[in-house]
Amino acid sequence: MPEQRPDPASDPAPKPAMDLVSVLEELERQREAEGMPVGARNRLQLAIQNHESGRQARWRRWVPAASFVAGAALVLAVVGSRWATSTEAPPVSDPVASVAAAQPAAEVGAFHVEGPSKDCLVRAADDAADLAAHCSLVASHMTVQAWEAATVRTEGRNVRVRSGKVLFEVETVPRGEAPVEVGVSHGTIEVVGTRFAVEQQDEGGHVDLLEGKIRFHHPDGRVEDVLPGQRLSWGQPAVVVADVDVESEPPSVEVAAAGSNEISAAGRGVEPDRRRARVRGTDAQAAAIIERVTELRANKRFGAAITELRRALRRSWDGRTAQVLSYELGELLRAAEDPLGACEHFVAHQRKYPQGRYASAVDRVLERLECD
Amino acid sequence: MSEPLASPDAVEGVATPVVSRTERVEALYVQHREFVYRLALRYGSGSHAWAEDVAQEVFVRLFDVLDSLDERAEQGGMEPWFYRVTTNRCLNRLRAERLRNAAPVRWLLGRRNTDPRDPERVAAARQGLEQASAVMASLPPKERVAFSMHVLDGKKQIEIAEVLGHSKGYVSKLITRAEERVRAAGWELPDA
Repeated sequence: MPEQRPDPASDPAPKPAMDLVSVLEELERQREAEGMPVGARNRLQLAIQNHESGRQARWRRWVPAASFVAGAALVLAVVGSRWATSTEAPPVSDPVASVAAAQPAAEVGAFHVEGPSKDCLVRAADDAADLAAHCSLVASHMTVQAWEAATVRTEGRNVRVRSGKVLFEVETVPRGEAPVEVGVSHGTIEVVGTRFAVEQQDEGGHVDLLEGKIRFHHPDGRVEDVLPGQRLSWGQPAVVVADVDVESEPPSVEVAAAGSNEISAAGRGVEPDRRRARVRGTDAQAAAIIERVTELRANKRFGAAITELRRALRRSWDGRTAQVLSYELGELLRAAEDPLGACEHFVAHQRKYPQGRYASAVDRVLERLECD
Repeated sequence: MSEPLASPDAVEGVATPVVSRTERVEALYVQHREFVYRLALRYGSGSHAWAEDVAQEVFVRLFDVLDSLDERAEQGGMEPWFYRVTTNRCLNRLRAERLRNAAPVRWLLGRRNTDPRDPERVAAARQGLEQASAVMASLPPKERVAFSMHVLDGKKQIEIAEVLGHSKGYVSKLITRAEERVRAAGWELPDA
């Protein structure tokens, strides 16, 4: 199986009047050689691991309703039978025990406590609760499941995570209603309807968004959107948004973002002017850049194309797009007959993405250019 | 590519270690993810985001059928199951996208063309092979899937009919129409 990637500089695009099947087979071979990106592999694995626990949590939402109906039916049956037999012999069964069995589960604020054992609620005071691992706080709009021992506090329909690792499943908030909020040490997570996991420790924590969309409100008023597959961290060492993707660069370098006063005290000494959040580019923007660069390249305006790509690469992108743009820049330098520049760039690319999606293609280019 | 679905340690007469549902799905995921992903990438015209979504749907679907898998595995491994489910998921997505992007629907919903602009697709287009991808993308979803199964996977018409849930005659028509469109676009096809 040829692993050779088509060389855009030397291979012209296939023209019709070629054998379509052989071209498609070549395309399949290339995709097979590239394989599944590491980031995608990890994201899917995470989705699988969280699917079953999420499903169980969804199923458990029905348990309070079913328990209530069963309890009410039992009470009615007992009361009815006592009324019917009030003048006859005393009932054989003990109604007190039956009613006791139908008592609702422990409550913390507007939430019920559910879990695999009776010891789910380790400690409860007012609206705060220490939950044992695998236990949940359940309300009609939200399920809060502790993956390990966690301390949470309910605030009306909202929740604050004091410590621990917690999975949230929030029902979609109807249009016009206030969003659900989850408080953490360095801000508030605004939730529209979604599934996400929060880990809060003494000095900081993070949220991993699995589905839907959340918004992180910093104490200084800044707001950051978090997309599925992304992780947002706070506290030590700094607030960052990063893809949960091993292909992307270390988040502290890529998107060091401004934080609150508490965060700057805990930061890594990044200068204030560099502590501005960089807005992440979208796929549509990246596609537009590549189209512009392609046009410039077609007109032999290599300098302008290279400048455009270099400027683009200074922005923040997700790991996948950053690699596409970086690879394009290397190819452009090569097409512009700047082998030294191409070597330098591809060596840096390889160092940055040693197992990236273009790793084998870059290896071949480096070999062809005889880069040191 | 068939694999044991029960615990690999399961031996007749010896107590089977308890393997959770998630662990079973994870084991199947590790074995079949590349196959599923590559198949989805084909029908998603090389979009990794598209392929990832399909792959997730397929493996999440696995949870629903997990309890009936032992028997199925004995009957010939899991690859045919993944092939069938992935192909049908892709077909459903392609049909839904085609419907959403139909001019009347876009007009009704007040949307512009929603074909996502994936930078990787744009880059790949410049790097050649775009015309082959374009002609495949121009085929109606059913014709595209049936044609791909026929020429790329070497499936017989009766096999394609089984996977897609159509008659052999209808599949034959789909393939013939796809071949006509491809030839009309100036491409050659090997003689049958």
